[in-house]
Amino acid sequence: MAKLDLQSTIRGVIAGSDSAFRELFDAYRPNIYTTALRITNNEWMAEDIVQDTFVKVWMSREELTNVTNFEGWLYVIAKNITFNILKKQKNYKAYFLAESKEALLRVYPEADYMVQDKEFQLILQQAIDRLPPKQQQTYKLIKELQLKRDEAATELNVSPETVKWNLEQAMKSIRAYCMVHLKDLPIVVVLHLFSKYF
Amino acid sequence: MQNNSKKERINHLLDKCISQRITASEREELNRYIQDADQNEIIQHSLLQSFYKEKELVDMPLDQQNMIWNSLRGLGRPATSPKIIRASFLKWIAVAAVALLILAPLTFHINTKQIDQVFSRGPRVKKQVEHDNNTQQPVNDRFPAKDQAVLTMFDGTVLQLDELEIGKEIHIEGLRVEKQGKGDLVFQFKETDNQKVFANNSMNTLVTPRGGTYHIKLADGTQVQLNSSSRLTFPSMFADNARKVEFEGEGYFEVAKDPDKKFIVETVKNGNRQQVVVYGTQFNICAYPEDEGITTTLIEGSVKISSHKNELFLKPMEQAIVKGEEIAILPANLDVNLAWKNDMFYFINEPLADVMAQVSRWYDIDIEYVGEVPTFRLWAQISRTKKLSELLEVLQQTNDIHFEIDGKEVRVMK
Repeated sequence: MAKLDLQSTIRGVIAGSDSAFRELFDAYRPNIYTTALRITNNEWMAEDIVQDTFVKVWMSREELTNVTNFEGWLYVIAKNITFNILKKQKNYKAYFLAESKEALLRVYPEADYMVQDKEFQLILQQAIDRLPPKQQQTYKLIKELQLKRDEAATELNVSPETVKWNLEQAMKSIRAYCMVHLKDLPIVVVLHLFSKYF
Repeated sequence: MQNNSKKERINHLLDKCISQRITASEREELNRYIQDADQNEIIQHSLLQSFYKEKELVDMPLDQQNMIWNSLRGLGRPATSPKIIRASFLKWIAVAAVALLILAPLTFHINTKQIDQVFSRGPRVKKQVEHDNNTQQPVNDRFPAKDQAVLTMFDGTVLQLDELEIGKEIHIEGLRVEKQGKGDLVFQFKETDNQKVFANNSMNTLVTPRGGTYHIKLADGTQVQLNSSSRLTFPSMFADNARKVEFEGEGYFEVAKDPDKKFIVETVKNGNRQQVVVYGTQFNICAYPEDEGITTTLIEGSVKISSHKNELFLKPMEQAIVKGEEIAILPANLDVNLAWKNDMFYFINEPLADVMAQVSRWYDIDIEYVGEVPTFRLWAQISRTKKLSELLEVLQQTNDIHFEIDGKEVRVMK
């Protein structure tokens, strides 16, 4: 990959350029992914760490005008996100082992008010609404109607692999949108979306 | 002392993570430290160091890279809008500050069926402009643009298209050029032995002046509708394995499908250089010198947009704005970006200067501002087939502004 002209790319990112942001994404993704992967030992968590980091970078890009050490700034973001995800790990495990709302509330008592939180419901709904049609249909069949992957494939008249792909993409898009609008990912969002960690 | 040794232990464990030498029980131990709130500071410090440590890099699978990129691109923008972005995506809301004027409103929630209806993919139905081509401009008013353009052919022939009669044909070695309608030009090619005459360097140029508009069908079936002040340079026939044209101004492209021959539209303007690459699809390009960037709006299919340094893929209902080397992607409001093709002006929160630029190109007039250039924004939806005076009357009614028409000039004042 051609060497990055960092200063010029950062200026582009500050100005809102998607192409400059892509350059940054390509340049720093490998290291953030590898580090996250080695620490969490979980590919999906490492992917989420990469995604959340770059969401945060994009949302905070105006800070960059005052930042002299970009890598330092970037890795602090990545570190904070990694730390938060590691901290919640134990709770995810407990929830999925028990697989029940009661278990969730035992581990995370404040989860109850969050599920009923109107703002969160609204954001989640917006996130689903903005999905492209195929992804939206796939998401609804599996997450809302609780169909299995094969059943959804039949319903949509596509292969199970396509269903898997569309669901994964939908989840990533919903996650990114929630993170932008909720500032942090409430535990319920994570649990609602991601049973694939374990 | 105990803290120091814990710190060393934690650093050591994370080191082993990075170098992939950690054991299962060591991982358990590390997890216990992570969950221990007393060790938060040490853990965080050590985590940060991990990002700097030398390591063998791996990357996530390409599929996942693309998925994450898809979720990142076009994310919400912070309140202060970056300078690179000119058009903004808005749901239609009633705004108290400026009175809205809605004539027959177009739909807001666009699905493909509605797109089909609004942008008629069937035989092209051209709206009747209110006058015929031979009428003089009225005194102190202007007619809107009419079908006129100049075609300069590869052999040097210059044709003033509005002066040709409908049905007029020109034949050159298997190439047939026909004026099919008032504003309709068709290029057709029948292969002959003299095909070599039409190598890709036999370029023709179609130019619409201010106050002009024209439609052309190229030899491969691709159709282009040109707005005013536009120029399309194209070969008589597409040889080779790519179809390439050059373009500036504003045009709506319906590219004929050819999976073996990609279609390239190149635009150079004001130091911005853009290439659009497609195999068969519909999109709109807006590249006027007065505008800051080049805007491409995709209706369906897929296009690759490249500036001279970067490239990105565009999805339907999105627009790409190329400015210098940078490409920004935004959701597109088809009602706004394609209104011209539906014979409408459609302004949503549009700065006055941009409104007047569009009006001046369509009516072929010069704008003079008396006093300061007003900075307010307009909301309006007006037919493009109206006389200039009628259009300005509408704008005057709903904004704190006054116009005077003097021949080819319009004065703008408060």
